[in-house]
Amino acid sequence: MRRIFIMLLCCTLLLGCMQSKNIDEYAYVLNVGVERGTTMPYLMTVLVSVPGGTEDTKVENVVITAEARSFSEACETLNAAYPSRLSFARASLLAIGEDLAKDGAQSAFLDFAFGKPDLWPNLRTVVVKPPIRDVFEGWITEADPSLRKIKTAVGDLAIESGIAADIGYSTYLEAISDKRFDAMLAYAGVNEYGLEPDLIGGEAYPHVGGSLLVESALKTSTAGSAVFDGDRMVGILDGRHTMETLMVTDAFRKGEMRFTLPDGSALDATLYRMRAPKVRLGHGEATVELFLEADILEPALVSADRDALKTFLQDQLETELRAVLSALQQAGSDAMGFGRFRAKQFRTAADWEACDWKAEYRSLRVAFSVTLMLSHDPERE
Amino acid sequence: MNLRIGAFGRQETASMVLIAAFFGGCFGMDSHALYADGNASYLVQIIATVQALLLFEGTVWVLRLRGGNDISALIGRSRIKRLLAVPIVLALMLAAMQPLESFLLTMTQYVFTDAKQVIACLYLLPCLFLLTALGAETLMRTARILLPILLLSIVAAVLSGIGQYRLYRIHPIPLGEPFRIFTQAGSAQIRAAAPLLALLCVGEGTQDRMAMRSGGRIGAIAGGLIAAAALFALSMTFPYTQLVDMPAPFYRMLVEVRAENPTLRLDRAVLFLWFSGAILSSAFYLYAASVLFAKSFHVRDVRPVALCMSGIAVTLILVLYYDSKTTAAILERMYRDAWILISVPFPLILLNPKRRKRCAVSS
Repeated sequence: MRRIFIMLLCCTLLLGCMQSKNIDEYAYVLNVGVERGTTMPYLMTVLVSVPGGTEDTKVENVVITAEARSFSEACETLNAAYPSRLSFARASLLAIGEDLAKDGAQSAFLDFAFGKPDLWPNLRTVVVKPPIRDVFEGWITEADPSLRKIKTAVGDLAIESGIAADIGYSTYLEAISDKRFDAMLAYAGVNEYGLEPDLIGGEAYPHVGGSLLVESALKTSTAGSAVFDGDRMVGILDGRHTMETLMVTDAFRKGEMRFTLPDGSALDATLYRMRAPKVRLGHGEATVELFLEADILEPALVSADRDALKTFLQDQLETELRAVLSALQQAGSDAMGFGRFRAKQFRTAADWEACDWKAEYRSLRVAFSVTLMLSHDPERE
Repeated sequence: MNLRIGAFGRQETASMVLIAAFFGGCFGMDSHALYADGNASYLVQIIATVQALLLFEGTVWVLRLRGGNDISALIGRSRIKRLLAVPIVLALMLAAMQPLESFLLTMTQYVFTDAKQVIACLYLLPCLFLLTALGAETLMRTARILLPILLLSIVAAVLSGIGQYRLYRIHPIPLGEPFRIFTQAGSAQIRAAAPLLALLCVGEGTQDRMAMRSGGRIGAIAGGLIAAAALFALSMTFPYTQLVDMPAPFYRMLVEVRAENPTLRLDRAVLFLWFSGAILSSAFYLYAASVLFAKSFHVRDVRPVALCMSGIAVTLILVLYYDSKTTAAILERMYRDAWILISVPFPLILLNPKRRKRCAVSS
């Protein structure tokens, strides 16, 4: 009896051999993108990595597209048109076309249950200036066939320079389903594209940050951010304004800024977050205290008049923060996340849900106070 | 009688109760009910643990007064009194079903996406039957062996999500409705009190009442606190608006890590470990229910009862998964109101006028 039981148990171990699929029968989707289609409502673009079979065969990256009415329909179309079976398990970037995002039309397409398809739920999400095919092809380089370094670089860009917002799809979903804050996604585009109007005013190359054009092996860059009101994109912030918004949300670590001094000369400074910002929200008004450290790259300027320079930089940052907030309020985007502090004031979820926070936010008066510490400051040391 | 209770010590008892309390607290919850009015899940868990401990301590105190090592000694032997065991058996069966149902859903929806629930259940049934048929000693000793690695997996899961934690997500804390929190804690008794109730059914296997009491107390407090900490971590990962419709929130917490995180893809390994723990705790409940049933209705061998209980539990899980919305609604209601199964017979059992009558020790 015992032997029969053990034999039956062993048989269950062989079930994995049935209907097995070898790893090289799959092609792995690295990037998924959706934009407006021409004949169907959506155009889905995927960057697929086909693993090489032998040492001589290189990993090949190809971009394929399909027009469809839904995500599942697009997946079926792509699978039917591609020789290997597409696996989404390794996808790590989701690109939303700017044309769709401006109408909030991406939500209907991306309304799939978690786990179906097999997409990692917190994959990096960016807004892309269409066509997405160009943007994905601009990322393909022989130096980084798996695109891993490029994607890590997007995250590093957010941490190291503060000119891009790096959030995952889960956080994006949270932002559109919960009114505590609005989404701010990194903005990517092909370097050759023209100027884009910035939400605050003026023009910039948001996708190359800092208004600098670059020439490199990659044709695509990621910097600046697209800001949302719910699921509708309402504008673009360039690298500098993204940095200032991230300072308030406490997602800023360090970044470089150029200031114009009263005499017209320029001053470059690397700003560091010293500690978490303090936000106090009262009835219709709020105060935000930011604590930053500035490393001035021209030491001669610092030694001239330290206090005057510090006051000047603080005032300039406060003025710019007010301008960014004002533009965001007009666009209806709570990208700075004041709603997070408003929710704390409620003792029941029903009361919070009944509160028309967006209406309150539009008329919210905010006083910014920046405390700047210059590097090698005797006071600090 | 072949009840297969055996003998086990305080460490084994505490380990089993801890595992069952943790899985009950974290995987047996009804997200719709728990998060519909905000997120106080971690407070509910703490209050439910305190309530369960009070119930347990009260029962042990009555056991000491009347003499006896397990709950069957309090139920009595008349035909009508024996019926008091039935709601407790049902409560334990429901407690066994809750984490299993949650894990099967996670497995078939997110891990083996092409697998059918019925196939997964066919694998589950022999495991459950084998564990319940081997008896309390095997269950307790397995729990003692499994506990360190399970604790490690819980710590790994909580630490891996640390980058995603945001304190603002716990707000608004629904402190404006304390009555609702206490009501939710009362409803949570089916998962908070079940480990201690199961221990009271197999108390005969402990060295004495004091060993049972201290083992149960340690296990329930540690398990309850770990579950509350894990629920707090979950609350910092997702707002209540998302949690209310989330089918497997702890698995979601595991896969929230970003692609650069070194703990990426740890989710499957941790999930299988947790599944083992859930099977063990469900087997513990089913075994305890079988023992109570066998003692109350004079069934001489616990194994046929254990086989039936395992079969019924697995079948009910399948019914919940496959059958119509009406059946699902009935079973969901049973989960929400199953605490009544404990709260009705218990006062009657504890107020039983029997005094100082020694129970027959059977093994």
